[in-house]
Amino acid sequence: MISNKMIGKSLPAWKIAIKLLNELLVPLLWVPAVLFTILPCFKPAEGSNSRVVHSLIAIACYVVIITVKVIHGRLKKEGKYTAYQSRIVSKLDLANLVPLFVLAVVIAFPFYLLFVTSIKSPIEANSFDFTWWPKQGATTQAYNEIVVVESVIGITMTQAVINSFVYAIIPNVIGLLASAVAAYSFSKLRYRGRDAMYYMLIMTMMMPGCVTMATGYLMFDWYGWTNSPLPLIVPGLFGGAACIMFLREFFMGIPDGLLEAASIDGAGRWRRFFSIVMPLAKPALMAQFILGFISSFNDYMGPLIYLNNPSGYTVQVTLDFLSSAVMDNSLVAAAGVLALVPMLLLYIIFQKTILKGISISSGLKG
Amino acid sequence: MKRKPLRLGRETQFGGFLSGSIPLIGFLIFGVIPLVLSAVVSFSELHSTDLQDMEYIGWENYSTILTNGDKYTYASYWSTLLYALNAPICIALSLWIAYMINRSKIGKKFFRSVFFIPYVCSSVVISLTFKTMLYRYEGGLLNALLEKFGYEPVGWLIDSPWIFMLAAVVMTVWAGLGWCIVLFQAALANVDQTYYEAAKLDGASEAKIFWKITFPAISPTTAYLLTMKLIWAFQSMAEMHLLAGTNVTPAWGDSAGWVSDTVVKHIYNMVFVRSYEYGYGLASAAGWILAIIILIITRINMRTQKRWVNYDF
Repeated sequence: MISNKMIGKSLPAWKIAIKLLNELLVPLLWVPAVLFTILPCFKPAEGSNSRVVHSLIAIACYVVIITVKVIHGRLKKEGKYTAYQSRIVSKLDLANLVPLFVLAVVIAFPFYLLFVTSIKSPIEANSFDFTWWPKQGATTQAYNEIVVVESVIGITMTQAVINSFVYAIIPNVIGLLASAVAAYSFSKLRYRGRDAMYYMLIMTMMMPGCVTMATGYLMFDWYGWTNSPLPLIVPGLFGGAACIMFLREFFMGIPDGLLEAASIDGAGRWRRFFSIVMPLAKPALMAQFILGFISSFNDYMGPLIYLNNPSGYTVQVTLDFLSSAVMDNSLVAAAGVLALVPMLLLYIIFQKTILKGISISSGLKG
Repeated sequence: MKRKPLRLGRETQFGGFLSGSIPLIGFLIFGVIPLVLSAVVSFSELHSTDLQDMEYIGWENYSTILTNGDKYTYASYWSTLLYALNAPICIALSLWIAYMINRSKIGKKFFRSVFFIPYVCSSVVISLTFKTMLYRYEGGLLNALLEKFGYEPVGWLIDSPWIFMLAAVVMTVWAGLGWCIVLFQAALANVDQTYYEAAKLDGASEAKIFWKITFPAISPTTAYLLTMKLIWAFQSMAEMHLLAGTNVTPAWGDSAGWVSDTVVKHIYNMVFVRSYEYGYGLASAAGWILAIIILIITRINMRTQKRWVNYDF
């Protein structure tokens, strides 16, 4: 909608046209311009003149963009020209929206491909022709095969998901409790050597994992744990340094007066912890738990190194081994969807907590 | 009865000490042992999990790596450096996207949700999706598009090491955007609006406002992201491992086979795939050298950050 009040009476139609071109056409034109700049970098098929054609299209796009921009720049210096505003056009702000939209499609598209491949028939999923949707009809055959039947790997996908959940929940729940207790003692209790212990703990975060990767295996072999999920679960039970740092910061914000009041009422150290500190820290704890759970569930290296028994595989290793054992893409895609769905559901339900948790645990303000 | 007001934490010290030491005990059992072991093993030769087979050989493992005694190990450091380029690319791109999302008048939440999805996906799902559905030679999306436009298909993962590296970096950037965008958005939302108003009154252009106000104001976030992303990029393994497959010599043969091997992936191969050839000793030494490189790069990073990071906003 163009409101008449805002158009200067002296502004001719062609100037409005330039303004509209600048705001509507140019952002859209950037898409083919970039596309046809990249494409000629590839080697054209034999007998195809696509390189020339595409280069010309790209050049044409750039010429139009530059012309409009130059005229627009000239006109901008006239005062009345800038006063003109179309409300819808400025609300849309295509120059901003088009690149965002294109990038969002690029981000989302692999997920679409994963899903579509999983419902294709095996023949179509593995054919050399790419299809955008299941032309031979959608089928849930691939899901039936991996959810119910034991795959070549020797485990059903259902069992793998259950395993992943168990390995991710146990260390995260108990580890979070340990972290919270430690963070409480570092922030609200007083004892000799407290700060020294805390800084020692912070130091451990700096140790890069690449150093202990090889000898970690030696150690767990020495403990006799290498064919069990214990190496994935037990180290997490003691809490994590980053988590403690974050929770300590949070507990410091709880006023001492609150705890003092409780202690006057006769609450002991742990009573104060469980009935005052923990309920207050619930959102922080929740964020830490979800983030920890996601990273445990998605862990690949640990399970790859330590799990050798098929019945104990996690989702991630099952998926990896499945993709190298079977040549059927629809099976791999279906397994991928199953590995993805729990995390996506978690994300949809706890989006706010996750996003907030990330920006808080970075320790930056904001 | 009148009670004396209690000072917090005047009860027995032992309980507090005990609860504070839980994570340290965990670190002693699962962190210190492999660390010490790694230091010892890196000076010796060990090809099995039996520590009795350990043979002390002095600095030989380190000199082998540093003097290019084993070309794969030496080359893996260069491929790691190359792969780490994904960190600055990802940060620049996500800053641009976060800036656009922040300016957008519609669908802010929608865009942020979409860009964040890859964060919750595992590297396995991402790598396999890219490998089997986008980068596949016949029937992959990218080649299908190329053919449609009249170009010859490209073997994204098999043609040449450079294209492989490009494909890997693109995938990693794609996966890493969400995390950076969330942090950048939080930082952008936090910039004091009065600065913008003042600049607009003075008639500053949009580009000038961005480089003179927005960028300095969010520079602590940029610095944090750069530090963290580089540390992660140097230690990543899963993406390369999954894209290139477990075969030790990639499809393009021996001559340039180094590119798909980042150091950590190479350590994995040395220990679990070709342990008779390399073994734990060389792997531990490679790990220590990488750790020192990470330390140096982080130091350089911190030093240079003093010049462009502004904490005054």
